[in-house]
Amino acid sequence: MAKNIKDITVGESFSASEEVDKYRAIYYAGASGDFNPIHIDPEIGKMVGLGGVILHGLCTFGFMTKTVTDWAGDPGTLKRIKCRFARPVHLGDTITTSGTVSKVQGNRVSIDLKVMSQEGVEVLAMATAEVEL
Amino acid sequence: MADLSKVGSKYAPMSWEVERGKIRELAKAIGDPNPIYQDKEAAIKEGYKDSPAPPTFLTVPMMWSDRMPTVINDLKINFMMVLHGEEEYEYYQPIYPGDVITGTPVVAKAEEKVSKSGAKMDMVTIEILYTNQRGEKVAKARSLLVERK
Repeated sequence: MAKNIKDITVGESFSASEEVDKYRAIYYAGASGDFNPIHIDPEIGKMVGLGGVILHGLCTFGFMTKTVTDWAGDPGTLKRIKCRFARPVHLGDTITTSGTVSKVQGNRVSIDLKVMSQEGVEVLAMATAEVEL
Repeated sequence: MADLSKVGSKYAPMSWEVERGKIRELAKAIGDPNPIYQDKEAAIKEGYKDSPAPPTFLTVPMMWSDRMPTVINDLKINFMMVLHGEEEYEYYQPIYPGDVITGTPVVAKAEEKVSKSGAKMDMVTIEILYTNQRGEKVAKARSLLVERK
Protein backbone atom coordinates (compact mmCIF):
# COMPACT_ATOMS: atom_id res chain seq x y z
CA MET A 1 0.00 0.00 0.00
CA ALA A 2 1.27 3.43 -0.93
CA LYS A 3 2.01 5.89 1.86
CA ASN A 4 -0.39 8.78 2.45
CA ILE A 5 0.98 12.12 1.25
CA LYS A 6 -0.30 13.69 4.50
CA ASP A 7 2.17 11.58 6.47
CA ILE A 8 5.23 12.78 4.54
CA THR A 9 7.45 15.52 5.94
CA VAL A 10 10.38 17.30 4.34
CA GLY A 11 13.62 16.04 5.89
CA GLU A 12 12.36 12.56 6.77
CA SER A 13 14.73 9.82 5.75
CA PHE A 14 15.00 6.09 5.13
CA SER A 15 17.67 3.59 4.16
CA ALA A 16 18.28 -0.05 3.19
CA SER A 17 21.31 -2.20 2.43
CA GLU A 18 21.94 -4.94 -0.08
CA GLU A 19 24.83 -7.38 -0.13
CA VAL A 20 26.35 -8.11 -3.52
CA ASP A 21 26.77 -11.87 -3.23
CA LYS A 22 29.28 -13.81 -5.29
CA TYR A 23 26.83 -14.77 -8.07
CA ARG A 24 24.81 -11.54 -8.24
CA ALA A 25 26.38 -10.25 -11.46
CA ILE A 26 25.67 -13.60 -13.15
CA TYR A 27 22.00 -13.52 -12.13
CA TYR A 28 21.71 -9.94 -13.32
CA ALA A 29 23.46 -10.73 -16.63
CA GLY A 30 20.94 -13.50 -17.32
CA ALA A 31 17.94 -11.41 -16.36
CA SER A 32 18.96 -8.22 -18.15
CA GLY A 33 20.78 -9.68 -21.16
CA ASP A 34 23.93 -7.65 -20.42
CA PHE A 35 26.70 -10.23 -20.82
CA ASN A 36 29.60 -7.76 -21.08
CA PRO A 37 32.57 -9.91 -19.92
CA ILE A 38 33.63 -7.29 -17.34
CA HIS A 39 30.56 -8.43 -15.36
CA ILE A 40 31.10 -12.18 -15.57
CA ASP A 41 34.76 -12.98 -16.23
CA PRO A 42 37.21 -12.07 -13.41
CA GLU A 43 40.20 -12.46 -15.77
CA ILE A 44 38.82 -9.85 -18.18
CA GLY A 45 37.96 -7.60 -15.25
CA LYS A 46 41.59 -7.75 -14.07
CA MET A 47 42.94 -7.25 -17.58
CA VAL A 48 41.06 -3.96 -18.07
CA GLY A 49 42.15 -2.70 -14.66
CA LEU A 50 38.94 -3.18 -12.69
CA GLY A 51 40.44 -5.66 -10.22
CA GLY A 52 37.99 -8.44 -11.10
CA VAL A 53 34.29 -8.61 -11.88
CA ILE A 54 32.25 -5.45 -11.36
CA LEU A 55 28.49 -5.37 -10.87
CA HIS A 56 26.26 -3.90 -13.60
CA GLY A 57 25.55 -0.23 -12.84
CA LEU A 58 21.87 -0.82 -13.53
CA CYS A 59 21.78 -3.57 -10.90
CA THR A 60 22.99 -1.07 -8.30
CA PHE A 61 20.40 1.32 -9.78
CA GLY A 62 17.88 -1.49 -9.13
CA PHE A 63 18.89 -1.65 -5.43
CA MET A 64 18.42 2.12 -5.18
CA THR A 65 15.03 1.98 -6.91
CA LYS A 66 13.81 -0.84 -4.67
CA THR A 67 14.76 1.18 -1.57
CA VAL A 68 12.60 4.07 -2.82
CA THR A 69 9.62 1.93 -3.85
CA ASP A 70 9.72 -0.05 -0.56
CA TRP A 71 9.62 3.23 1.35
CA ALA A 72 6.80 4.61 -0.82
CA GLY A 73 4.90 1.32 -0.40
CA ASP A 74 4.04 0.86 -4.09
CA PRO A 75 6.37 0.82 -7.12
CA GLY A 76 3.60 2.39 -9.23
CA THR A 77 4.12 5.66 -7.33
CA LEU A 78 7.60 6.13 -8.86
CA LYS A 79 7.54 8.82 -11.56
CA ARG A 80 11.20 9.59 -12.12
CA ILE A 81 14.59 8.33 -10.94
CA LYS A 82 18.13 9.07 -12.05
CA CYS A 83 21.78 8.86 -11.11
CA ARG A 84 25.36 9.15 -12.30
CA PHE A 85 27.41 5.93 -12.21
CA ALA A 86 30.33 7.21 -10.16
CA ARG A 87 32.40 4.22 -8.98
CA PRO A 88 32.43 0.47 -9.71
CA VAL A 89 30.74 -1.96 -7.32
CA HIS A 90 32.53 -5.24 -6.65
CA LEU A 91 31.26 -8.64 -5.58
CA GLY A 92 31.20 -8.84 -1.78
CA ASP A 93 30.38 -5.13 -1.38
CA THR A 94 27.42 -4.04 0.72
CA ILE A 95 25.53 -1.16 -0.86
CA THR A 96 23.49 1.19 1.30
CA THR A 97 20.91 3.53 -0.21
CA SER A 98 19.74 6.45 1.96
CA GLY A 99 16.92 8.73 0.91
CA THR A 100 15.83 12.10 2.29
CA VAL A 101 12.65 13.91 1.33
CA SER A 102 13.76 17.26 -0.12
CA LYS A 103 10.43 18.69 -1.30
CA VAL A 104 6.70 18.02 -1.21
CA GLN A 105 4.59 19.78 -3.82
CA GLY A 106 0.96 18.72 -4.22
CA ASN A 107 1.10 14.93 -4.43
CA ARG A 108 4.66 14.85 -5.65
CA VAL A 109 7.55 14.04 -3.30
CA SER A 110 11.17 14.75 -4.32
CA ILE A 111 13.86 12.59 -2.76
CA ASP A 112 17.65 13.03 -2.62
CA LEU A 113 19.52 9.73 -2.60
CA LYS A 114 22.96 8.67 -1.43
CA VAL A 115 24.25 5.27 -2.54
CA MET A 116 27.43 4.19 -0.75
CA SER A 117 29.61 1.10 -0.39
CA GLN A 118 30.66 -0.31 2.99
CA GLU A 119 33.88 1.72 2.61
CA GLY A 120 31.96 4.97 2.37
CA VAL A 121 32.56 5.35 -1.38
CA GLU A 122 29.72 7.04 -3.24
CA VAL A 123 29.04 4.51 -6.01
CA LEU A 124 26.03 6.32 -7.52
CA ALA A 125 26.12 10.13 -7.47
CA MET A 126 23.63 12.94 -8.10
CA ALA A 127 20.84 10.46 -7.48
CA THR A 128 17.28 11.76 -7.12
CA ALA A 129 13.77 10.33 -7.38
CA GLU A 130 10.20 11.62 -7.51
CA VAL A 131 7.16 9.70 -6.34
CA GLU A 132 3.49 10.65 -6.56
CA LEU A 133 1.41 9.64 -3.53
CA MET B 1 35.72 8.68 -31.40
CA ALA B 2 31.98 9.29 -31.42
CA ASP B 3 30.44 10.77 -34.54
CA LEU B 4 29.09 14.00 -33.02
CA SER B 5 27.25 14.91 -36.23
CA LYS B 6 24.64 12.24 -35.40
CA VAL B 7 22.67 14.51 -33.03
CA GLY B 8 18.98 14.14 -33.83
CA SER B 9 19.45 10.76 -35.55
CA LYS B 10 16.65 8.27 -34.99
CA TYR B 11 17.10 4.52 -35.10
CA ALA B 12 14.67 1.81 -36.16
CA PRO B 13 12.13 1.19 -33.41
CA MET B 14 12.49 -1.98 -31.36
CA SER B 15 9.45 -3.92 -30.26
CA TRP B 16 9.42 -6.28 -27.32
CA GLU B 17 6.74 -8.53 -25.89
CA VAL B 18 6.95 -8.47 -22.10
CA GLU B 19 7.16 -11.96 -20.58
CA ARG B 20 6.00 -12.84 -17.08
CA GLY B 21 9.14 -14.93 -16.49
CA LYS B 22 11.43 -12.00 -17.30
CA ILE B 23 9.59 -9.80 -14.79
CA ARG B 24 10.15 -12.46 -12.09
CA GLU B 25 13.78 -12.93 -13.09
CA LEU B 26 14.68 -9.23 -13.02
CA ALA B 27 12.99 -8.72 -9.63
CA LYS B 28 14.99 -11.66 -8.24
CA ALA B 29 18.25 -10.43 -9.77
CA ILE B 30 17.97 -7.06 -7.99
CA GLY B 31 16.90 -8.83 -4.78
CA ASP B 32 13.41 -7.30 -4.72
CA PRO B 33 11.16 -9.62 -2.68
CA ASN B 34 7.93 -7.67 -3.38
CA PRO B 35 5.38 -10.45 -4.09
CA ILE B 36 3.58 -8.39 -6.77
CA TYR B 37 6.38 -9.25 -9.23
CA GLN B 38 6.10 -13.00 -8.60
CA ASP B 39 2.39 -13.51 -8.04
CA LYS B 40 -0.46 -12.11 -10.14
CA GLU B 41 -2.95 -12.41 -7.24
CA ALA B 42 -0.68 -10.40 -4.92
CA ALA B 43 -0.48 -7.70 -7.60
CA ILE B 44 -4.26 -7.62 -8.05
CA LYS B 45 -4.67 -7.16 -4.26
CA GLU B 46 -2.44 -4.08 -4.56
CA GLY B 47 -4.62 -2.62 -7.31
CA TYR B 48 -2.73 -3.78 -10.41
CA LYS B 49 -4.34 -5.81 -13.17
CA ASP B 50 -1.38 -8.22 -13.28
CA SER B 51 2.25 -8.39 -12.09
CA PRO B 52 3.81 -5.07 -13.19
CA ALA B 53 7.35 -4.88 -14.56
CA PRO B 54 9.79 -3.51 -11.92
CA PRO B 55 10.85 0.11 -12.64
CA THR B 56 14.29 -0.88 -13.96
CA PHE B 57 12.83 -3.49 -16.34
CA LEU B 58 13.50 -1.25 -19.38
CA THR B 59 17.07 -2.51 -19.49
CA VAL B 60 15.71 -5.94 -20.56
CA PRO B 61 14.36 -5.01 -24.05
CA MET B 62 17.31 -2.68 -24.53
CA MET B 63 19.90 -5.43 -23.96
CA TRP B 64 18.10 -8.53 -25.26
CA SER B 65 17.10 -6.79 -28.50
CA ASP B 66 20.77 -5.90 -29.17
CA ARG B 67 19.63 -2.35 -29.87
CA MET B 68 22.27 -0.61 -27.74
CA PRO B 69 25.23 -2.28 -29.56
CA THR B 70 23.65 -1.24 -32.90
CA VAL B 71 23.41 2.37 -31.79
CA ILE B 72 26.96 2.33 -30.37
CA ASN B 73 28.36 0.94 -33.63
CA ASP B 74 26.52 3.45 -35.77
CA LEU B 75 27.87 6.28 -33.60
CA LYS B 76 31.37 4.86 -34.15
CA ILE B 77 31.93 4.66 -30.40
CA ASN B 78 34.74 2.31 -29.32
CA PHE B 79 32.96 -0.37 -27.29
CA MET B 80 35.99 -1.02 -25.05
CA MET B 81 36.23 2.66 -24.09
CA VAL B 82 32.58 3.37 -23.40
CA LEU B 83 31.18 3.87 -19.90
CA HIS B 84 27.56 4.14 -18.87
CA GLY B 85 27.70 7.63 -17.36
CA GLU B 86 24.16 8.38 -16.24
CA GLU B 87 20.67 6.91 -16.46
CA GLU B 88 17.27 8.47 -15.97
CA TYR B 89 13.82 6.92 -16.17
CA GLU B 90 10.43 8.60 -16.29
CA TYR B 91 7.29 6.52 -15.79
CA TYR B 92 3.81 7.21 -17.17
CA GLN B 93 1.95 3.93 -16.60
CA PRO B 94 2.55 0.29 -15.64
CA ILE B 95 3.98 -2.32 -18.03
CA TYR B 96 2.31 -5.75 -17.81
CA PRO B 97 3.02 -9.27 -19.08
CA GLY B 98 1.84 -9.57 -22.69
CA ASP B 99 2.31 -5.87 -23.41
CA VAL B 100 4.24 -5.14 -26.58
CA ILE B 101 6.39 -2.12 -25.93
CA THR B 102 8.07 -0.18 -28.70
CA GLY B 103 10.93 2.27 -28.33
CA THR B 104 12.70 4.48 -30.83
CA PRO B 105 16.26 5.46 -29.82
CA VAL B 106 17.12 9.10 -30.59
CA VAL B 107 20.50 10.82 -30.21
CA ALA B 108 19.41 13.74 -28.03
CA LYS B 109 22.84 15.26 -27.43
CA ALA B 110 26.44 14.64 -28.50
CA GLU B 111 29.36 16.78 -27.43
CA GLU B 112 33.03 16.67 -26.51
CA LYS B 113 33.99 17.53 -22.94
CA VAL B 114 37.30 17.95 -21.19
CA SER B 115 37.55 16.59 -17.64
CA LYS B 116 39.26 18.46 -14.78
CA SER B 117 42.36 16.35 -15.38
CA GLY B 118 42.40 17.42 -19.05
CA ALA B 119 41.19 14.12 -20.52
CA LYS B 120 38.91 14.44 -23.55
CA MET B 121 35.64 12.55 -23.64
CA ASP B 122 32.68 12.32 -25.98
CA MET B 123 29.34 12.50 -24.19
CA VAL B 124 26.35 11.07 -26.07
CA THR B 125 22.79 11.10 -24.69
CA ILE B 126 20.37 8.51 -26.08
CA GLU B 127 16.64 8.96 -25.37
CA ILE B 128 14.03 6.27 -25.85
CA LEU B 129 10.30 6.91 -25.47
CA TYR B 130 8.48 3.62 -24.91
CA THR B 131 4.87 3.12 -25.98
CA ASN B 132 2.62 0.07 -25.56
CA GLN B 133 0.47 -1.81 -28.08
CA ARG B 134 -2.30 0.80 -27.65
CA GLY B 135 0.10 3.60 -28.58
CA GLU B 136 0.11 4.95 -25.01
CA LYS B 137 3.32 6.37 -23.52
CA VAL B 138 4.60 4.06 -20.76
CA ALA B 139 8.11 5.33 -19.97
CA LYS B 140 11.09 7.29 -21.15
CA ALA B 141 14.75 6.31 -20.69
CA ARG B 142 17.67 8.69 -21.01
CA SER B 143 21.19 7.20 -21.08
CA LEU B 144 24.44 9.12 -21.10
CA LEU B 145 27.30 7.24 -22.74
CA VAL B 146 30.83 8.46 -22.09
CA GLU B 147 33.57 7.50 -24.51
CA ARG B 148 37.09 7.96 -23.16
CA LYS B 149 39.55 9.05 -25.84
